[in-house]
Amino acid sequence: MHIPTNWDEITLSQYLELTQLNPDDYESQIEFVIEKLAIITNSSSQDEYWEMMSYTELLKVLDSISFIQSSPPNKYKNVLLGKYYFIGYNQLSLGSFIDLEYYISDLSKFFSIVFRQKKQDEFDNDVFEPYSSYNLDKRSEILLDVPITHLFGLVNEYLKFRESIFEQYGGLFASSKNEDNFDEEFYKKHPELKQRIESDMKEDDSTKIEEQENKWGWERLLLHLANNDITKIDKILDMQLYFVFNIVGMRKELNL
Amino acid sequence: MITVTLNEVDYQLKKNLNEFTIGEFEKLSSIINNESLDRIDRYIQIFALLGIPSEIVEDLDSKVFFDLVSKWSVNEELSETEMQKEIEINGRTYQSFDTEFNLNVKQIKLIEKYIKIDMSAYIGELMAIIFKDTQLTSNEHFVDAHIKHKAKLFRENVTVDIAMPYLNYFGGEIFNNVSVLGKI
Repeated sequence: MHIPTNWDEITLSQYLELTQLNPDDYESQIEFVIEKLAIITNSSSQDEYWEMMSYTELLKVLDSISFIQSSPPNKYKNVLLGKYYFIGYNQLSLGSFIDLEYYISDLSKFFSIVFRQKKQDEFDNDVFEPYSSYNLDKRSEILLDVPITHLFGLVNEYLKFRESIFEQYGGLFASSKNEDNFDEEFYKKHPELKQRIESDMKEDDSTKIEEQENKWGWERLLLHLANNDITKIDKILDMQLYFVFNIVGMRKELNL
Repeated sequence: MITVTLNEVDYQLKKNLNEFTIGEFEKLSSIINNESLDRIDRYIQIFALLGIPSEIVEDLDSKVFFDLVSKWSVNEELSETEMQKEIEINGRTYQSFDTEFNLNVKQIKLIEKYIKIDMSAYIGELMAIIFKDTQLTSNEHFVDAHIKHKAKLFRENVTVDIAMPYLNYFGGEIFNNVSVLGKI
């Protein structure tokens, strides 16, 4: 049985299985450890190989897999399996960004959003596969067999990108507690929503408003951008993230 | 063994590890480790286990009681240091290893399971898991009912000094390396 000795030998699928293990689900620490070994060797914890392994041999094996005590290295590849390319966070559409926010806790879907096929147009420009053109579940299944070291660094890169977005455009996401113009404009156009929220309020008014706004944050923004025409939302989702946020920021600043 | 005389009656009190069966030692450990007992109660129960009825001990003059306490303590000096690899009970032979002793993962898992069930009474099961009946297969050895049967047999017939080297091995090797296991 081959025992991996570094993260390069661990796939995304195996990494996800490892992170989902809960030691409280096991009767003993050694059972928990054997389960981890079974995952990284694609075997079963009930295999006789593990059951009959001597304790001294087990300690040697544990020593060789000490790499799993730390996170995978912060690196990634721009091309996976020869055909899926990292689109770059700066090229994200609004729809992709919203989904990345949603899928940050489901890494297989997360990576499926940012790796696309591409081709070249008649002008030799790179054209990426549109986000809406492929099935996310099927794509994430394909990526499960990719080494985690080809992907993991993108999580950290995304968190930095995300932080820069919220720093740069933070004013667009403020709550009505701060008397944001965006919210005033929004409620002017949708007075029935404001009425509904106010009628639902019980004890802590400000908390209730904030909870409602947090729940419907993206939908509110989309509805606002589409001027309440939901048939336009798909097109807005396909727009470049930076472009959308710049426009929203401009409208807010100029009171348009 | 020590002999004490109380109210003109002689009592033989076990004190060496090679005098206690595994079962007796487990009961003794359970009393010693029972934090809900105060020290006096603890010794009353210990002496009851050793054969002195509690009503006799409770009636003792305090000086006599403390004298008794000071005379008695478990003597671990005579415990075995070498692992005895064969035990014979009622004509059947139980063997712990062939050439060199080592536990495997399956055995450790089982022992840990029994420790979790009852931290003060697992030595019988530990010995039952380590010592195989030479007439049974490996699969039969690990059957729950067989382990329980052997544990009872060892508790009644094997002195705890035989178990000590195995206990020390498990405690030393396994628990000292639990931090290695815990990090993975």
